[in-house]
Amino acid sequence: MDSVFQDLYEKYHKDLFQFIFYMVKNREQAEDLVQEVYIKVMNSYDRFKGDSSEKTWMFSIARHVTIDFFRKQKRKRNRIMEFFDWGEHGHFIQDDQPIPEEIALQNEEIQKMYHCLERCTTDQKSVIILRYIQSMSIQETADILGMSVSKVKTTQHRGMKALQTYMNEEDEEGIKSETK
Amino acid sequence: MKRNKYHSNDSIKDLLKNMPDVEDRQSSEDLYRKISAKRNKELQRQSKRKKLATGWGVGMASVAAIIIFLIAALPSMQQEQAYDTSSSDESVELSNDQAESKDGDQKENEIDRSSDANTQEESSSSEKAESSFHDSMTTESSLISRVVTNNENELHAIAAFGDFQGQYVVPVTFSVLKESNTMEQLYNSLEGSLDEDEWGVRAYQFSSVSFDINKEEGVVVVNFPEDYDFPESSTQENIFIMSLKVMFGPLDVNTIKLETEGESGVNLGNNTGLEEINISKRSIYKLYTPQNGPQLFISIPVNQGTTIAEALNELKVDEPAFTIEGTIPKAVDIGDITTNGELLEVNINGGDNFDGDQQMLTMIESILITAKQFGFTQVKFNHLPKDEVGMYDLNKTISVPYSVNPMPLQQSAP
Repeated sequence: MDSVFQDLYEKYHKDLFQFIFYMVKNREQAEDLVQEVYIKVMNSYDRFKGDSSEKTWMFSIARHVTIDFFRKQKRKRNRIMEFFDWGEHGHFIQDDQPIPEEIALQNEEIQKMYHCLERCTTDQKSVIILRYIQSMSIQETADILGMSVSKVKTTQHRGMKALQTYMNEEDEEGIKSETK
Repeated sequence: MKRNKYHSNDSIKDLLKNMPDVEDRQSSEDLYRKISAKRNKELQRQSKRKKLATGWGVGMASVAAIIIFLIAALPSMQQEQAYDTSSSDESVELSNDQAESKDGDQKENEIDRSSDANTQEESSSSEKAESSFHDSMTTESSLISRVVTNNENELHAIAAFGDFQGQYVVPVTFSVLKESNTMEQLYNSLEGSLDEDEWGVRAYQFSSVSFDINKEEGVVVVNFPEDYDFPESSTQENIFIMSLKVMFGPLDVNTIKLETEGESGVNLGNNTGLEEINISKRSIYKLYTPQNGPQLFISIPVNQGTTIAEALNELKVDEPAFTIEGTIPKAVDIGDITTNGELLEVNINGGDNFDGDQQMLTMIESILITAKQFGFTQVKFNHLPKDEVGMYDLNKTISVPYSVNPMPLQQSAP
């Protein structure tokens, strides 16, 4: 079992962590979730039939783990909003996730992109991370996300359009605040 | 004034491709230890649930059998009563029987209800356990467990190394699924998994050595090649002997036989023709904290006459010259200790003075593995400030672990 861990770690850990991190945008949370992924992988490794590649199997587990995490977060957020009766104004709650050093050291455009990614839907974000940050093929992305190739293409197209809009909006905001 | 820059599809792609790599700061060893601890905890919970479910299953089946028996028996008993009016004694007896059986019915119903209630309680508590396990995924992520628990599906092999000062021995444990390996194969194939530099320990001494394990006779035969570089100084010799003891101690082996090219005996600097090592030697486990490397449990031998109370008190003592830390915080005291067969009960004083859960977990695991060296199989901790830490339910007795310092096996099973 341990040799399984070591083997998978060496082959996929860097990319796996990267994927989870860009999905949840919190290093500590990503560290927790990557542990959860390995636990699930090691618990079910014997049952892995090899229908998909090891890589797409691991990434699809990672995707499920992050989606579960988002669901739990959403439930938690809803409970808090109900408790404080924020209702429709809940979206005004600031997302105060710390920006990791690796991002903070980058230029302004990269930092903007980091924030804009957050505004995409979970599917769009998943596709964009896998396709452009992790350079995976459309087929690999489809296998990981359990989507058809055409769905990946559509989601990718919409996601890129959305990112363009958000990035342009960010620029507009920046100009407005500078002129004030 | 800043010019509004229009972002094209290509510029977005370029930006995405240039997003920086964010790396996991956990080492593979740390990650493995955390995963092992969580998996162990999950397995323990699953097996507890299974046992409880089986227990309740048997209980429910018995209750159902009694109820069916009573339903079947009552009408015939009543019939007997209707026909037989000759003996008042018998009538009294019968009515007593009926009363008893009614009582019985009521009791069974009560048992039934209570078992239902308990089943519900159990199922809700198991759901609670499940959800608390999932919650603990986030809260316990930073806790590092340094022990390997007994798992009937796995085999464990221990490799031991001298610490940098050449004083004591640091064991690390590798695990594989039982079906994929024999114990002997595992012990004879550890070399590729060792990373002494990373772990901050001296080089493994038994790479060219073969181990022949005979558990039935309680003997391990260690066969050295002719050109083996045996230790010459007494310090090296000490580490050599301690390493073998630590490696095979958990296997319930009594004797380690030493051979050179199949001939009995090895020539150590101060021990020419040493043929065997008696494994019985007690040790305690503190925390080895080398400058470069993870913190690992280290085995420190104590005199044969040392009591468990003395051993536990010794766990408070730091040995800075050897970069070893005591595992019981200074502000925490071991109070009364009671023993009952293989159960050790430890009362903790000053339990509010732990500096976080990791410190408490390290202390608990160090006491567990130390208790094992003194023949205890279960330990109960009293007066700790929490009900649960890491994988341990502190309200219950805890089984001692198999070994310490889990490490991932870096090669495919032979």
